[in-house]
Amino acid sequence: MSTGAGRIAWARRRRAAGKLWRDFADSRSGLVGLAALLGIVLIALLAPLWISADDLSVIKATGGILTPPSGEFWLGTDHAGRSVLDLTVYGARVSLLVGIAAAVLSVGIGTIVGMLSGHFGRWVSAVLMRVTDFFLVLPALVLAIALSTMLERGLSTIILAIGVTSWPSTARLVRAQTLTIEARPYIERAQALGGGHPHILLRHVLPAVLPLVLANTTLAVGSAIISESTLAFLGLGDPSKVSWGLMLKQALDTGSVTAGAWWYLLPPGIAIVAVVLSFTLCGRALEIVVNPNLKAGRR
Amino acid sequence: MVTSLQSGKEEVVTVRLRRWGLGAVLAISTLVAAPLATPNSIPAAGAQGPVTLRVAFTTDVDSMNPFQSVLLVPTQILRMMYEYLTVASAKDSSPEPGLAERWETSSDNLTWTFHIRKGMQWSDGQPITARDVAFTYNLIMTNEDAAAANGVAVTNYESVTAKDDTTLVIKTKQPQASMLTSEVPIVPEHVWKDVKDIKNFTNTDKFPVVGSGPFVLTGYQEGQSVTLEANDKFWRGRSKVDKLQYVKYESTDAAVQGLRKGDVELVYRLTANQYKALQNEPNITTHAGNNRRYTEIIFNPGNPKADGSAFGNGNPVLKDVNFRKALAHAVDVKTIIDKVKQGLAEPATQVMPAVYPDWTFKPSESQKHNFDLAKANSLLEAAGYAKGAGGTRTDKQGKEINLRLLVTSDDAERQQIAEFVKGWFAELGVGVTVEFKGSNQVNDDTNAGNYDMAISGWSVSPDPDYQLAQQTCKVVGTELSDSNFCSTEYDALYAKQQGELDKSKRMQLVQQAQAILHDNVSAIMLYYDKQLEAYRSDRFSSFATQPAENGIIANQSGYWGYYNAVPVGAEDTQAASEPNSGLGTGAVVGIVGGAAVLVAGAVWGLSRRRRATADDRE
Amino acid sequence: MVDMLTTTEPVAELPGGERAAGRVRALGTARFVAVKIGGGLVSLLLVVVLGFFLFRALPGNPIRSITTDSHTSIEQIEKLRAEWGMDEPLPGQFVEYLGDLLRWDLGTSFKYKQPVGDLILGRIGPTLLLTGAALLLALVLGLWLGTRAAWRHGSRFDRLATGTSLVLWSVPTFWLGLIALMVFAVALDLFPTAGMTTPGGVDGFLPAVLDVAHHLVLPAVTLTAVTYAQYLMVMRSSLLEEMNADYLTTARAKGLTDDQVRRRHAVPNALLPTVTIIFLHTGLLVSGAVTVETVFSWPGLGLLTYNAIGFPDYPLLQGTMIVLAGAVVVMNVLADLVYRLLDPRVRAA
Repeated sequence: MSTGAGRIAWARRRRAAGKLWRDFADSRSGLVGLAALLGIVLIALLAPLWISADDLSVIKATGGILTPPSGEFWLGTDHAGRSVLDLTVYGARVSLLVGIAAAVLSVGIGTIVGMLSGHFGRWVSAVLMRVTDFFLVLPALVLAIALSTMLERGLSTIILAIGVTSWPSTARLVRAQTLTIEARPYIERAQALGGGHPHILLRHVLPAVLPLVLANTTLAVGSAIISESTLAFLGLGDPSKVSWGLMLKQALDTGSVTAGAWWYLLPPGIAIVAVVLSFTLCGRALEIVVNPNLKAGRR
Repeated sequence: MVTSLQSGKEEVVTVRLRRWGLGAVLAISTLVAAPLATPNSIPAAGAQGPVTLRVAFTTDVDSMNPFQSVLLVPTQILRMMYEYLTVASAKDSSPEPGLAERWETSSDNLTWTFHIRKGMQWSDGQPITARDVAFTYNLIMTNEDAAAANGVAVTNYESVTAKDDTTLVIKTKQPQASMLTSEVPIVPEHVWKDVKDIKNFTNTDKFPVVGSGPFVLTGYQEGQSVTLEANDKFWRGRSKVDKLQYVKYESTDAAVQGLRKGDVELVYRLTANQYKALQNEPNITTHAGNNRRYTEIIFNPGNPKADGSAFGNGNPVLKDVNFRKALAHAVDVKTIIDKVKQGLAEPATQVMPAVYPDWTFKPSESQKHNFDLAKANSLLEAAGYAKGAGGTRTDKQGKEINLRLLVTSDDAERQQIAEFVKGWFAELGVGVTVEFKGSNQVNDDTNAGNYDMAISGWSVSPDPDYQLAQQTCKVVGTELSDSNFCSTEYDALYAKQQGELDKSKRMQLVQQAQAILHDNVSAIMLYYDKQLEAYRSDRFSSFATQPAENGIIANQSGYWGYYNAVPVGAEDTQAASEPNSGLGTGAVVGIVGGAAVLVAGAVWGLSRRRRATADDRE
Repeated sequence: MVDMLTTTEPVAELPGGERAAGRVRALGTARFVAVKIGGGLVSLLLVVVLGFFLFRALPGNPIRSITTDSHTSIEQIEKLRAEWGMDEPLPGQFVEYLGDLLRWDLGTSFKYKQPVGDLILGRIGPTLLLTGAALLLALVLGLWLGTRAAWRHGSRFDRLATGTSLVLWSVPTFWLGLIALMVFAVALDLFPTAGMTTPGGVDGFLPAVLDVAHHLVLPAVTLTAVTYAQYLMVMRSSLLEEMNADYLTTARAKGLTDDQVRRRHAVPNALLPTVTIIFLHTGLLVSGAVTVETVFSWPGLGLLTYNAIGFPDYPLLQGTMIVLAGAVVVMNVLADLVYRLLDPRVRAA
């Protein structure tokens, strides 16, 4: 392809992105979600500036055990005397990291499988869809529990466990989309002009499914964060990395419910709700903007 | 959300209240609520119901078959159902008469004669005789399936015979000191002789299950609850507790909520925070009992298996006893107890907990590994582990020493301990990498020797034999080893105490054996837990503890705790208030609320239907 | 795990896209059913294989689980190992397992020493009761609110209903359950704290039913709260799509009232994707209820599975895996069939 054509393609994509943003900005709830997300991400990124490793250490904590909120500890302290506020802020880092990484992994696998099976048809498609169907019927939570007990404790394990168990729905979505796109005349034209499989997949199909994938990822982050907290609740998290799920788990294990330590139970839960809701709002707004099915339906 | 997409007409449909529909909802709700009033009616004051003790548990019940059950809670329940030949006393867990009222040994210490108490009856009225005991033991000795749970108790038995209805003779292959503490549930021959398939027999298909203990099994709901009722025929007399129920909760926190509400009367294995929170609550009494459990940090001493094969990948520096000793001096047990256990534990000396005063290890002041970082450092210097450039000590090959510490990931307390230990060892110049793994993985790794250090712990039976056996060379690298420790000197002492029937001599041997473990620093002993318990003081005024002083109520080596529980007002025979059958006033509100939602939905749907047909006719 | 909240039409219908659709339409119904069922069976077979090898790779050793609570000797351990077939090479164990499976024998649980089939049967009732009740509630709530929200789209009702459902959907199930437990069971004393029945059971049929109902409220409502958003969203968006369809305008032109248009034309058509999603989610719900079962100590299948992983009890895990996956397979096949049955485009062919 000549550079000129490339430039035109890029300009077209820039325009598409601009339109995408304008459409997105039409959705008030989407904007609210996006703003909330940016705020949370900013806080998470800046957390190390005022929270040191000592603040998170279970042995160097300065507060009393499970003390209620006070001037010194705005959200009280946990079972080891650490500030719940610090933990909640810091926990955002792990929860977001796991959520985003797992979602990217899951949607990544789903997109590749979906595109390949949509594009190649016949036996490739049959095999890939068989695999997808298989993963779809597996009890995902059981599989994730099994995986995370089997592999070494750590964030990567959790990410992997969530990622490899949640991709099939994306694969089906992307496959359907790929089929729709490849039925369009310009793909046939490209094929007639001698465009090979990589060319068609990367130059035509991928850009076309990308918005859908983006919306899907955004939605997937929310469920991945909930999945992380569920796995942590079931005792499968990494206790050396503070996440919201781990906080809840430890709050329960150390008897905070009994102690009535609402300041230890509520912040991580509310934080999860806030982040998941933000991702969901953004994702839905995106989905409505980019999903040609939905658009077509509305004429 | 989709605000931008909709170009069509905005249809504002008012929800029309359909009066007759609402009326129907109310009418049906009342109908639903009416029958609730009957079970819900609270017995009038002074009315007498059975005294019920409901105990919350959070682990699993595997089986009610005494020959099959191996998990903690069901074996506890089986203690209530079947009496043993001899039992561990409430006072100090030393053996005292059970079905046998007295016993003697032959001069060669190989033959034991037990005299079974006359006049005892099974719960169905049949007499309990020596033949039942002989039947039970012989079944275990001859039937592999019957040996699953208690086979270990009879491995040294040559023969078991009933001379007559009251005389039982057990011949052993070798003298056996632990003879009186073999906890084998004795079953009725007249019931079990007809059981053909011991392995698949659930023991829950016919209630009440014939037994000899203080309670008989009368109900079993898999995964939910186990119900027992007082045994009138129990030879010590009927318990004041009419009904004993074990209620399954998935978490202690939920169980505590049940206690608060009065859904259960006793909860054990509380965390320190739960315990402290419950201390100030009305109608609840908390109790911290000295438990028969120890927690320790084990090392990988790099010993080979019994067949001589090496295994695992432990750091070789841990083979050096001086190195281990230095580490032992660098752990401040007092800080751990204060900070992690919130003061609710006692420092541990060795594998036999302090609740067994006859067996627990009593080190001299000079023997103790007191917390002393300076001493620890000088020990390491003397042993030739110099500090490298970065301040980290190096082994004999000049490699920096960094030890892995295996910790179960779902235990917040052990996580804290690990962080403390890491800090102290850092001051010695010994690096520590804390590895969090699932408890199964921790077990796998310690079995396979793929660790340097691990936080571990065991619950200990009244007789020292089993716990001491876990430290012998024979079990290194198996599921049975505590710390993969091995010493021929120790093994000799272990074998000697096994056959020593003179208790005071045996006590000395056990002290010596533990001294070897101590001097060789087989592990860093941390603490003996307290078991934290709480009960409804408005329903029960006291429970029997084991040991009698500062002991535990639940998880005893015996049935004392529940059997001797005293209900409030039991003196003047006034029974404790009958536990609410589960349908309080709240229930009515709840169910009616739920039902109302469903009914409203249905009625609404129906009304739409009707209207639709009416409209169509137009 | 948690399903993603998406309003997109479920793609588990007929092979999507134009290219495949024609071919499928040409298939006879019998052939279609056969293909679907065949696919499901293949998945199940894979589940059998995976279940066997996956769980055996789990850390932990069932023998160790036995030695922690009770006294055991080395000889006994060897015996157990032989009895459980753990001393044989894996392929041999697998062949034996397959043979048993063909005779409908799921094996004997290591932990409970009972036939796995019996154990599962005992737990399936509670699980179906919990998930069924939650599903029913979620459906009624989701479909009703979804229809209303779409019809009065943009209104305060719409914003409130959609907003609430999204917030609840974002809540971790176990956390919501825990708070419900603290508030409704303990503080307000409205419901019991654990289990499915009062310990030991209640005498009489009606009281027993009410007792179970009483225990069911909190777990079912918790499960409903976190799932109904899916149905609301799907119903709402598909109804929104239908509402602008030409035939509705025709219907209105015919003089039908708004209510009638909605009830007779828009809603039935919008139900199509919703029904499919219902079937797809039902299968998953069974295994997804494990957190609710944990919080409320509900004796369900999910909990049985979860606790078996800790042992690890291979035969039991293999059995529950087959049942949990089987539920999804059946529901997926049903979803396909129902879709075919309902979709006028497919029916016409």
